[in-house]
Amino acid sequence: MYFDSFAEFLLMGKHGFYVWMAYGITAAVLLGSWLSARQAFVNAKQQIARQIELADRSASVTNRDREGFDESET
Amino acid sequence: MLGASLKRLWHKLGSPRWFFSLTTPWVTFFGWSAAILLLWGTIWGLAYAPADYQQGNSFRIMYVHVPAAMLAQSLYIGMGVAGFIGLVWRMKLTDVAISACLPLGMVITALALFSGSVWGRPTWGSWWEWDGRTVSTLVLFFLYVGIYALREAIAEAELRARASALIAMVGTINIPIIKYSVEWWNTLHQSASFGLTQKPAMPSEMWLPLLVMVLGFYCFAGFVVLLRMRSEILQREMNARWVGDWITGRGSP
Repeated sequence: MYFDSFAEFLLMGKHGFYVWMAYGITAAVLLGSWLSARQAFVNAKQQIARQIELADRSASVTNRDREGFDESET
Repeated sequence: MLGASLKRLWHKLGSPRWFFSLTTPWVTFFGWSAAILLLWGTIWGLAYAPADYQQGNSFRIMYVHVPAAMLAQSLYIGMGVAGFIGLVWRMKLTDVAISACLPLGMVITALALFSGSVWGRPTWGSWWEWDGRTVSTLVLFFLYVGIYALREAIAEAELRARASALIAMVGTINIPIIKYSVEWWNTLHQSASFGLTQKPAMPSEMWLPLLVMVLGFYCFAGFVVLLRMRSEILQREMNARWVGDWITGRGSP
């Protein structure tokens, strides 16, 4: 390690404020970019799953109606 | 023979389904590489690299500022190339790529400007200078914002794709301006001390962590852009059979 103590590491000479601000914002930006991209992927998958579920349900409802109609006719 | 198979590959590259299945393992690879490299580079750069003899410890901002600035330009070049291919060969995937590079490019450019500002305060004595490089990077940021706003405003997909491809392509003119700004206008911003072609103008204890950080930033970009492209492909191909089969676990893409 370049610094003699942890306190000196935090102080960064007299530039602690600037260094930690730059690194803090960088961490926030990278974390935010990752989480929002992941959320977009999860949302897309959920949206499609819901759409498939709806389509399946309406298909089964149509089938049941058709069966009911067939039964009453015979 | 070679020509025909190259042509086949080229057309395959344009297929969203093929791209989706190809990149499934890449996302994991880039994600983990980015995590390891960024953690390693940050610890190395912050705690182990020696302080600069002139700038003291404020020079450690370089380890986030330089990769952010490099990535900001690379993502824009990526959009420009995608725009060119999209306009010439009418590939579906290129617009997907532009839409995926856009949000990351925008925030990374903002990060490059911000970290530069925070570095400038202790080094130049000011948060903002109308220096050739800062201004041309600000223009880059506005180009990203402009394309983003344009995409939000145009509802018609085909027109949106062509308009953003064209602006992305034309805007790449700004990239050499950013690159040579430090030579054309001899102002405050220091010239490049790190590049692919020449030996870095600093000791290896200083530039090795930078190399790790640059690689980490590029892996991170690969990870986020691929993830966004894959979401966009799912959205656009929502009604395709392979998407339904993949979501319900009945088949692979």
